[in-house]
Amino acid sequence: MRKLLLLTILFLSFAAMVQAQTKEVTGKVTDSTGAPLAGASINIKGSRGGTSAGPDGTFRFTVPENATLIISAVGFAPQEVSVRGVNTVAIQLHAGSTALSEVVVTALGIRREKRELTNSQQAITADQMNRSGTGNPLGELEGKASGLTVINSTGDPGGGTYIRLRGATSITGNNQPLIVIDGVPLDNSINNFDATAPSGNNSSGANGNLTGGQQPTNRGNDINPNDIESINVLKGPAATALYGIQASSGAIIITTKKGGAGKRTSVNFNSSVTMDKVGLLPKLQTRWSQGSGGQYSPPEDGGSISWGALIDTLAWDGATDYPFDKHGNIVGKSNPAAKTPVTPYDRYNFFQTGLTYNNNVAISGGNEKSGYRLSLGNLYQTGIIPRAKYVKTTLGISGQTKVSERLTASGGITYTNSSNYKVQQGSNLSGVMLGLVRTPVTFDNSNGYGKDGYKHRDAYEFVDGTQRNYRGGGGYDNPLWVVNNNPTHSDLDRVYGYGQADFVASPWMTLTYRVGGDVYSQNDKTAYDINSSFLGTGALYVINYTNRQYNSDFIVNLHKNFSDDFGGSLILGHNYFTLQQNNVFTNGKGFNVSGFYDLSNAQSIQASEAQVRKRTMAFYGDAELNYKKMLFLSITARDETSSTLPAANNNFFYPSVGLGWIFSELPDFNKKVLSFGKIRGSFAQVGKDAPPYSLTTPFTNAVFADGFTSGITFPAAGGSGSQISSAIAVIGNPNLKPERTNSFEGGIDLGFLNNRIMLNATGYYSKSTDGIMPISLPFSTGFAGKLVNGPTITNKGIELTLDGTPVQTSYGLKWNVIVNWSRNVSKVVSLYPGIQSFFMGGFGAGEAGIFAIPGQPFGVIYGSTTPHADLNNLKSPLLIDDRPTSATYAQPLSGGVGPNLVIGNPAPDWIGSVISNLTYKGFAFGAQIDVRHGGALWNGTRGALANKGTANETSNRYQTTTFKGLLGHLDDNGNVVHSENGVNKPGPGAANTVASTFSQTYWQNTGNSFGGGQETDIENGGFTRIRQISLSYELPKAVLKKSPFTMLSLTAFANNLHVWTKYDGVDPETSLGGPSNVQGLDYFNNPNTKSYGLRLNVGF
Amino acid sequence: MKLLHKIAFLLLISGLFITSACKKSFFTDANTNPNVLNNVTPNLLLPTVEAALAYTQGGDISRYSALLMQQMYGANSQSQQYYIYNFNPGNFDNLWPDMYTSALENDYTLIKISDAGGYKAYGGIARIIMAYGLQISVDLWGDIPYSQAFRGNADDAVFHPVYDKATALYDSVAALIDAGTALLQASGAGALTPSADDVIYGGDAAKWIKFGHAIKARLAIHQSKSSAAMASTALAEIAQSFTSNDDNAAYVFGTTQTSANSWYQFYRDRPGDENFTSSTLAATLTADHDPRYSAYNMDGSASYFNQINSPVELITYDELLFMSAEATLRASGNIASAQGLYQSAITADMTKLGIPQAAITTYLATHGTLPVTVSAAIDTVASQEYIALFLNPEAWTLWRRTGSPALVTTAPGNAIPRRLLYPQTEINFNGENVPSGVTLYSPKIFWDN
Repeated sequence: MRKLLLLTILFLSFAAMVQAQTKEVTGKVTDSTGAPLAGASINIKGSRGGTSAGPDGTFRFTVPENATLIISAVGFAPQEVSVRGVNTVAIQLHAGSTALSEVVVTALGIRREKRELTNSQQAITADQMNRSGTGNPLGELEGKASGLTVINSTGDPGGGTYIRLRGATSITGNNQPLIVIDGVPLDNSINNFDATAPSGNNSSGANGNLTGGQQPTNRGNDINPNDIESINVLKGPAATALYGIQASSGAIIITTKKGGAGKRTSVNFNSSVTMDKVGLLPKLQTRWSQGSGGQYSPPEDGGSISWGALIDTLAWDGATDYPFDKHGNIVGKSNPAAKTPVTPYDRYNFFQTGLTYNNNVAISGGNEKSGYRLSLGNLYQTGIIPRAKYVKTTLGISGQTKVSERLTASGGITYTNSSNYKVQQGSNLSGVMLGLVRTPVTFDNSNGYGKDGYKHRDAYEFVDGTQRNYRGGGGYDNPLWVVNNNPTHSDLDRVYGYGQADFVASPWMTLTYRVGGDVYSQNDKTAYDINSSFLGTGALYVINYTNRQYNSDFIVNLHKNFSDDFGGSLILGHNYFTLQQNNVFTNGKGFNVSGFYDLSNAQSIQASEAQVRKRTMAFYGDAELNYKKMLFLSITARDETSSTLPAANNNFFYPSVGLGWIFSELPDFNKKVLSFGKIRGSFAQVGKDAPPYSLTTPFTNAVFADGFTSGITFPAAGGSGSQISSAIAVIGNPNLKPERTNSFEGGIDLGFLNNRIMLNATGYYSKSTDGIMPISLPFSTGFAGKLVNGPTITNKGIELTLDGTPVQTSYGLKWNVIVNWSRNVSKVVSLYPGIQSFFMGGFGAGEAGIFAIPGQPFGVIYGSTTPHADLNNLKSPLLIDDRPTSATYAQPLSGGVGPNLVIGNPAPDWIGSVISNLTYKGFAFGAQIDVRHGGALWNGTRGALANKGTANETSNRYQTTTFKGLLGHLDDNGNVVHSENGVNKPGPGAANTVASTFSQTYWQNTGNSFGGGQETDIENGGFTRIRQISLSYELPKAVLKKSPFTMLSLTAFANNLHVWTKYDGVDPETSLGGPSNVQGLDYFNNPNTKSYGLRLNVGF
Repeated sequence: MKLLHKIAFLLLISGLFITSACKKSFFTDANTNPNVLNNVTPNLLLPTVEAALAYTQGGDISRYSALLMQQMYGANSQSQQYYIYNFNPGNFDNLWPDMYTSALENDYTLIKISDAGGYKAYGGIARIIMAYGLQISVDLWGDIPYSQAFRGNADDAVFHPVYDKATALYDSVAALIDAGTALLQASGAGALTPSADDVIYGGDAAKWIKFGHAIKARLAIHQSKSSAAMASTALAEIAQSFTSNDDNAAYVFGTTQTSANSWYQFYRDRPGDENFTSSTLAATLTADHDPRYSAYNMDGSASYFNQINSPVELITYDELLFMSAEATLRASGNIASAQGLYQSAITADMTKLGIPQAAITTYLATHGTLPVTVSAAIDTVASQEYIALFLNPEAWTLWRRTGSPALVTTAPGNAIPRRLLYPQTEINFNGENVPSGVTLYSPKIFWDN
């Protein structure tokens, strides 16, 4: 209450002082040739108000008496002009580097000149967006800013995009930046249910353990990139302190395109068509048939492996009634029935050419007082996997009007509708890739139909409804069965928008009230038809997610120049945020009729609800002081209350302070070479609240399962049943405190050669403490875990951005290059007393999981090992089995029996990108190359394929080799010993000299992670890729003068044209866990794409 | 002044948020989960506990024991591995939590709620359930946490429970049964008494007491190999226990897919992983022209055990009769009287399975006679009991303590395991207490000799 009182007094005292000290200013903006610059932006420095120039370059604007205006236009260096004592201004803008004095939209929609910032931000302009034709706004960010990690999980239409700024600070919470669109937070949830995951791990969220199911979407993808005017990436806590809890992992501030007052009506039509081809795929062997021990075994025997006969020794008998192959049964060549030699089938003759049509039309315009923009976008995308499809339609309307000289009202609303047909992926009997790449070379999934197999029921289904697959109907699903009989539909309707009033109360005070909402309903429906390998009696999951969030900000913006040297601004604000999710899960099991995916067809139906509510409220302030345009001090504070914390701890406060010094403003500074120089530093603290409902241990509806069956869900025999515990039950904690992150950053911004080359360098260190996480308890406590404040995590890193224009000639040739480079090193300092590890997701201990482990980087891959001479040192030589009676004699010891160790760190050593733009007259040639250096990826796909014998690397089977390593084995106590004359001696023995072969035993036991140690399949996930190449031509304005068009351009582009990588599988830019904290796993992930497209852009 | 009005208006809007937000309950109310209960009555926990216990026994425990005992054949995936004794600690990370959380922690809570509310009948039943859960767990793992277990959520929370000695736990089991029996016999069963929510016995206190004696009989017979006194104790307990198949402690599953029998679910969700027809037991039954073959044929359509609502049997009358026969042999060596019990046991089992009397008579004509030496007779009794204990983990206990029937290892070079490993989660999170150096063969459970 005291704070409230204080604020009220502050308001009232300002209100009492208010006097009308505004005036109208008119002006004209021209370029260096004197031609009018239509659409140039005119903003009041340090404030939110703004207008734009009309077609003749003129504007009329009511401003505070002594305001400073910032006039900017795309491609021109902005200028500041003071209106002190004048009513008319004429501004001539010069083309040039915009990097420095560019105006950026910072937290809460405040416009500031980049040079004044004391923290790290990086702007991305509209022309850098929407280049790929995918319509995925977050995916477009890849490589566009230093310190920004973007991982597109797969090439599936509608697939998720994971973004992260700097490092992760929270083990269980969301580590993705807050997305803010026109000042209002936008939900970027992952709403996904994976029926194939172990019970209880199948839920959504930052740590949803998504190992199978369908590739999840994150809701940030609903934005239409065509509506984006600019994006400002607020990288660290110092930049986002004003946003509080939600932006503790940074923020992506999106400003949408608006129609300006005084602008003539213009129409922009933008259309692209893109062709997607399948990208990298695991290499498969083509010589050995299904079977084992060199003997062919037919599909009807149900075997899962390809360790059969050489296909050169096999023939088809031509039987026409053999349901598994149109060529007949496979027999030995010497068999009298043999007719035609067996030839290999191409298992990848399954992928289609995906097509994407992305059409957008926008109309904008305005009169003297008002402006509007109307935009309609449609994305129609088919996948490389048959039937996969994503259709997104967005309709956006925005406008603003001057109600009076002092009051401006504005608002915008966007409606998005999308529908997504998803296919199964990952560790899942119905995963498309799992069934596809394990298929032996002697089996044709399409039964002769090739790429069209999915259209032919008889390719994947027998007349009795059972499945035609290479395992006689069992095992894994035929991928063609999956795409037809295991469909997932995800439909979305979403509306988000805002309304805002800006009131110029006095020359030095602006009041802003903004209310925004984001409401959507996502309806998912997943079916497993009768005879699917998983849930073979038929199952249907119908899930409705409803999300409503509202945000209100009341902001008082005060700015004053105390003298010519001293200026300052103060922002005071109040924020209220509320979230309500209502999710209903319904499943029906046991179909009466196959192919009818309706709840009425299920023999038993169960439903459950999950409602989530959350409220936060905050008071905040931001004070900026500047001296002689050279020294900038920025102080912010936020006092926040969150409903998810216990009443005693639910209010918390955190500050930030930043200082910038533009030393090139020193009076006698020589600007000849170094034209600009700034040093900046900041400290910030941010907090993060707890997940809703984490304070108590309630009774829930009883549900339990083991790893094999879907288990019991109450009501069951005996009626209703409650449980306080289950294998996933976590004990609530009534004493939780907010998580805290303290962050220091320092940076230097340099401009060379009249700012043609700009270098920004930032170093940071952050320490997050009191992280909220469930500690795992031994189940003998009766529970799976307890929520505690525990982990301490540090992150440090460097971010570099070089933006230069090496070539700029008078005859129009210009070459601009942007280089982004960043490196982040994270460390889990501690978890909780006595807690040695935390499982974040993936596969459990002994298999490859993603863990937080003290002393290790965040989210390392932890799993079993193949025994080394020094068991705990992966760099020491392998132990080669020295027991002649052992099945693995003279081969590395059976995998998985070594200790569980940290086997990889998915975080890359560094990431970088080079974006080049070469323009000459109407031509523009753009290229972007992305590099990810290092970063481990667990290639579980390769492991399984080596075990099953379809991997190309198993082509070396039966070849003789002498395995490198030291002789030895493990004794009954698990210690390394070696055998000398039949007696065990401690430690490893001599180097192995005994020859062995790459036998089936080797490949199934130690050669891969499926049967052996998980370390075997840790690979370098680094890559260098040509992210994008584009060539465009824009017709000269002179040519268009006589036409109805104002702009006409055509662009040809290619995405992911080539990837250089040592990774042996699908594109290493992949994530089984989708857009969650669980990164670094590949287990039958669906492949990525490379694409080629054309785009037409027309304005009239 | 117009301006001041506008400011006042704006202040009013924000003031609305601020004032309403200032009430403490405005935030705490939002953090109340509407989809859960904060308190429950015992009748909401008992069905959960019984189902979880039955599902756990009929699921992982039954599958492990049936594979090890060659009552089922592991054809594919994990089952194929388990069949040849390829186990690692991680394999028990479903079974152990299901037992400790869904079954026994909820049962522990049921005991607390029952005691606090004076629901004596529930308190009695919950203790007997706890006793049974402990008994089968001790027989799988030996030393396990109990005295400090289940207290993660207690005021005096214990996060790293110590492991109690298996022998001491057998005493705890008996003590739980005594306490449970006393509560069931006490006057004033409480304001709420179990009925349909007790799926096992419909709230019949007398049957629960008999079940308690049956568990105690097991405790004794397990230790009877070198102790005639234990055999006598077993006989004394049996005398107070089941008198017909009607007394059988069995959980009958529901008829919906989500309340279905655990083996039914396994066949539904993991078809082809295991089968009966290739098992050693199937071969034995075929060779013996045993009329139980079709009732046991999990791969067929009309098995006693593979229907959606098939029961999971905890302890049955026929097991007690087999125990009687064995205990009689051990206590007195009276083969004649043991033979009568032995025949009754086979008859009770077959009757339960719905086998016609004529077929039973035919079978007994060839298999109803015990050999003339005590040790051979015990082997014969055990071999028959092994058949009757189809899918019941007690079969593995029986084999471990008697060595009968004689089974050939399915993994040449490795013997048939004699215990389970502790789960990886205990090793990871309770490392200071979990016994180290445990293998599938050692240490043996204390009664295993």
